[in-house]
Order: sequence, then structure tokens, then C-alpha cells
Amino acid sequence: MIDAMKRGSAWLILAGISLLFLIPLLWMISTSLKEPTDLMGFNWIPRRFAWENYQYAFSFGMWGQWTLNTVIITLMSVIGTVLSSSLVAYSFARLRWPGRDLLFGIVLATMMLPGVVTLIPQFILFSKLPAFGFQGSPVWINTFLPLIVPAWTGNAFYIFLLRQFMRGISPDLTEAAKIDGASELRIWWSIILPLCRPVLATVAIFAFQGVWQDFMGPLLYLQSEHLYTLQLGLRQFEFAAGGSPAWNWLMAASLVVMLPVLLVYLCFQQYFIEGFNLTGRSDK
Amino acid sequence: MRHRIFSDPKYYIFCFVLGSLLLLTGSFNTSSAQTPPDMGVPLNPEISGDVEFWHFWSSPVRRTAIRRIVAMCQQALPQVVVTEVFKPFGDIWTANVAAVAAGAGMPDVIVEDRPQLARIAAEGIQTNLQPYIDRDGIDPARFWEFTWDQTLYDGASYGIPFETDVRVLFYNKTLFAQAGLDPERPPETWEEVWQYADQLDRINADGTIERIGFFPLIKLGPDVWAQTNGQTWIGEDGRPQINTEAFIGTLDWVNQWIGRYGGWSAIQEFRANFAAAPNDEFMTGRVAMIADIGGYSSILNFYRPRITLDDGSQAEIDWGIALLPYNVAPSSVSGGFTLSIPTGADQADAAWEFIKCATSPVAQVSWARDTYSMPSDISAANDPVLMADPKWAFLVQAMETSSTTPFFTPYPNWREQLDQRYERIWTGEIRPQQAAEEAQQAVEEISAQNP
Repeated sequence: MIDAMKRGSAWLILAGISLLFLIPLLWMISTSLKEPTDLMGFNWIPRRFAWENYQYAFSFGMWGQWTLNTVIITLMSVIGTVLSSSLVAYSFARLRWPGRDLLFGIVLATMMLPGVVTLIPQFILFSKLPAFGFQGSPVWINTFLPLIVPAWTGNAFYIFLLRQFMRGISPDLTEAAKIDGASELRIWWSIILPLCRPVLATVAIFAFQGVWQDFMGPLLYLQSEHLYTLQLGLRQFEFAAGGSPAWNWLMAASLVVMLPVLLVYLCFQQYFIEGFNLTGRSDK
Repeated sequence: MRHRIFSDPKYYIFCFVLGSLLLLTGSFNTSSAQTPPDMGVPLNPEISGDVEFWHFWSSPVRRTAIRRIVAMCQQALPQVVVTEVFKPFGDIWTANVAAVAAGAGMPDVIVEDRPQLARIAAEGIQTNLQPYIDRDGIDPARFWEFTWDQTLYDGASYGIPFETDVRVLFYNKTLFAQAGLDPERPPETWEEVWQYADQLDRINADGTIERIGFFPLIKLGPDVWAQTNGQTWIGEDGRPQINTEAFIGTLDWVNQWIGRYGGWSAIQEFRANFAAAPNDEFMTGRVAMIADIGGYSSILNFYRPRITLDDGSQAEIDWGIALLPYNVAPSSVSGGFTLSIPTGADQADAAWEFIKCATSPVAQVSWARDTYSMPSDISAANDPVLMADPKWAFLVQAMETSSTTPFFTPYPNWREQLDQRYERIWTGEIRPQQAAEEAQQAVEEISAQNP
């Protein structure tokens, strides 16, 4: 009886906290269904459900093209991040080579560098690299390259996360593979990566979320509107109401744009939680 | 059957009429394509080039309006191909600075924040347009004087004024009528606005604020109000003058308002209830008079806010516009934008022709009719269709009171010395006189390091 009461009260507290975190989302849904004259005050239920807000929000702008661009950039970046970060992490976790720990320290130190510091130097670099007419541009600027290629060179935080996980995998497994004549690349691909599935899912979700919601990168590097991503598209509602945000259209579009992030999380949440639990183990 | 049609004379008559019509249509099309429209300024239709034009006008109304101007200019400049690109407001300038610094990827034409233009020009981000202006004889008198003055840095212009605005007083006629005030007679002076507030204020029994008649700092800073108290920011010696009687008097006046509503923290607590339109102070009916740019009227028209009256019924706010209440003389401040050419743009000649076209009287009238924004071209602002609206006519009249502060090269951001001290004045930490003197001294010291 006492146990049931404890469980019940715990459930109530958790439900209350969940509701608290859900309030912004519910408010977004409510706002997305209101007419402009209904946006004042704190009424949760719209006077009339203005479903046409969704139709209107997506009738202005190249949403189809922007969605395709975002999907391409996100997929390519996530694949690149997962592969490159895991390969580098494997080297730091399982291989012995001179200067390994020093280099790992340097990689970690790059996490301390604010992105804004490297903004202009990176822009200059990308404006000099030739694109040979890719996406109609002579240089990397105004192509997807500055948004995708860096993802294929690893990410310090993900490398750290993966390295910690890989150090927890029993060395017996890789030793056995070595005796059977497997190369390091083969071991990484066939043994380590399948065992790292939970943490790889964590990295993939983080990377997906980061790239899908990236604003500054596309803003700086993409100059033609047909190359824009969804996050840039959302900003067109900022001044839609005579200089003020058109909240109802903005919320309608934002809800649809955030759906993929929500779906990815819901599909992979088991791996996501598992990945975090496992990377929390003590370092061997 | 086919044979019979060909032998019928009606067939040949039909063919003749159809052919003539096609020829006529073709010749009309040809003639219209060959005769560029008159934009009201001399353009060079021989100039060619691909112009990339960055702007931040994304709303359906403004996007359509700017596309209309681009289409007009494409006709007027048949050899110039203009690609208009939307970039988010604010971030547009970050992207431009990055591109200019890198020496690649900048647009050929950008919409620039006019009050910031001199500073940006000093940093080398925009191209000096004076050689083009002199060559083509652009007359600065076509534009409101302050809009042109704000494009100048070191005597040269770095942009052509596009749109502007003016700060005015918006007042709630519905609340005026409810409080027994004449809705057609808004306050004109500092003294009157204080008296009007007496009738409009509503303070709860527990001392909290239910409604404010007027508070000067909701959308404006004390620097604007100082101008209505006779303040001139740059003295005859070309240097900022801060510790003046007019400015210190304005700070005292603001402090009186703060005291009236129970102190700075009480006002902050009251203001924490509000957000952006339509949940701002004025639209919710919690502040009866507010100073804002003329463009606020289009936000009011979009949301058509409703308030609850004393009898419990709901009514759409009936609002009016007036000049900013003054103590010495009417005055106001205007923001707005220019069209400029970023440093390093490789299509500068074609970009210049496009700028001339987009800021021409014809294009400016088109923009104003579409967006209800104040054009910088005076003749466009006086367009008869627009002037038929009394509120528009009033805003045009208010433009006459607006002015600008000249750029002070040794210390472009000298106003930050004021901004840093305002909060301390409002909380009573320092006296207005002391703050003004400290700020004056700081400006003198910093500007002495960069003569």
C-alpha cells in the first residue's frame, strides 16, 4: 500500500514536471491555430481553429527545396560525423602510437574555442578553396561543401564520447580478430562499430539535431535562396506582421520543421539513453 | 471537308484578322520591350551585369513590393539582371561583414541600416558612392535632409536613402473617451501629457499598477526626449555635448515619471507582463499613450487589438497619432535604410544603376503604396494616393520635425557612455547631473586618444 502510494506520488510529480516542460510546445500548437486578432492575452483555446495558417505558412517560400537541402546537408553531415569521429576515437582508444595522449588533449582543447572566433578565418578559407563549378560556384562559398565537409573531419566532443565507450569494450575481442589476421580498419568496422551502436546512435542524434537546427552556417555560406535550409526559411516570418513577427505563421512553420527532430529522437531514444548510461562507466 | 474550308473566303478573312492581331500584339510587345519605363531619374540602359541584391524583406507584403521594384528596374535596365536574395534581419549584416573581410561572396547591393552607415563606412565595409553621385548629378534635396546626412562619412555618401520612419505618439482614443478626455485632442507638451496621465492612470488598492497613462521609456530612450527639450547633441565645435541643461533637465523629467509610478523596480515589474505585439503595453490597453515609429500603425492594422472596457464589453482599439510631446520645440528621430554597395563587389557599375532605379521617385511610390512605409524621396512621400489617408499625411508632416545627430569620428559609439549610466540614474544610484558630467568626461578622454 505504502509502495503504491510512493509510486503514485512519484508518478504525479514526474507527470507535473513533464507537463511543465510541455507547456511551450502546447503553446506553440495553440498559437499556430490562432487568427492574428486572437493572439493577444493568454487564451489556450483558439476562438476559431485557423488551420489555414499551416497552408499559408508553407505557401510563401521554397519550402520543398529548402526541405530537400536540409535533408541532404543533415544526412551527409551525420554520416560524416559518425564515421570520422568513430575512426578517430578508435585510434585514440585502441591503438598505441607516439604522442597519442598529447594529441587527444589538443583535440579536447578545441572544444574550448568559441565558434565565433573561427568564423572569419573559416570563411576566408572556404572562399579560397575551389569548388570547380559544384552547385554553380567557383569556390566553396554558396555551396553545401562548407556545411558538409568539416563534418567528415571529426568532432572533438563526439570523439571524446566514443573514445570513452570504446575503452570499455573488452580487448579480448579485438585481440582474437588480430590473431585471425584482421586489419585495424576491419576491426573498427566489423567489431567495434557494431558494439558501439548505442553511443553511435547518441552521436547521430546529437549531430542530426545540431545540423538540422544550424542557423549561422547556412546564413554565412549559402547565398542563393534555392540553396537555403529550413532554419533560414523560418526567419522570413520575423517581420511578416508589418515589422513584428507573425506568431501564428511562425509557430505553424516551426512545428512542422521541428517534427523530424522529434521523430528521430522518439525512434532512437532507447539507444540514446543506453548510450549515455554506457559512456558513464569508469574508464579502463 | 478540308478542301471545302480552304475554298471558303471566310477562312482567309479569319486568317487575315488573326494574323493582323498577332502582328499588332507582337509589335506592341516589341515596342514595350524596347522603350524602358521612365523611373523619374536618368538611367543608363547600356550598362550590363548580374547584380546580387541582399535584403531582409521577407513578409508577403514586403517581398512582393521589393519584387515589383526589381521587375520595374529590370525593364528600365534591360542589360542588368538583378537577383534579389532574402537574408534574415540583423544577420544580413553579419554575413556581409564576413564576406567583405574574406574578399569574396559579398552582394553587389545591400540594404544597410542608415543610422549605422557612417560607422560601417569608417570600417571600410561599404563603397564610397560620391564619385557616382557627382557623375550622375544625384540631387540630395530630393530626399529628407537628415536621411541624406546620415549617409555621409568624411563628406562622402556611402548609400542612397531608401525608406525611413519617424517617432510619433500613439494614443488610445477609446481610453481617452472613457477617461473623459477629448479623443481628437492629444497632448502636445510635457505638461499636458502629465495632466492627461492623471486621468488615465489606474493604480490598484495594493499600490500595483493597473494602467499607465504614459511612460516615456517604453519604446524610446531619454536621448530622443532630450531633443524635445532643446538638446543638440553635437555642438558647434563638432564634439558631443552631454552635460547640458537640456539633457540633465530631461533626465530629471524621466525621474519624475519613474517616481510617479512607484520607482524603477515597480515599473520593471509592470513591464514584465508584456511581450512583442500584439501583447505589448499599448495593444493590451495597459498603457494609454506610447511613442514609437510611424510603422507601428501597420502592426496595429494587422492585429486590430481589442480591449475590455469598464462595462465589461470588448472593443477594438481606436487609436490616433500625434507629435511627440515637447518642452521646448517639437522634435523627433528617424531610422531607416539605404541601398549601398559593399566593398569588393565586382558589379559596382550595374549595382549603382540598380540603386538609382530602386530609389527613384517611381520606385519609391510603388514601395510606399505597397508597404505603407515612409519613402526617403520627398516627392514619393507626398504621393496623392497616400496623402488621401489623414494618418499618412500626418506622418509626412511629422517628418519635418525629425533630425539626426552628426557622426563623431573620434568616438563613433560615444552614446554608449550614456547607455551605461541610465539604469544607475533610474535606480537613484547617481544624480542626473553627476551622470551627465561623468559621461562627458569619459567621451572627452576617449576621443582625445583618437583625434
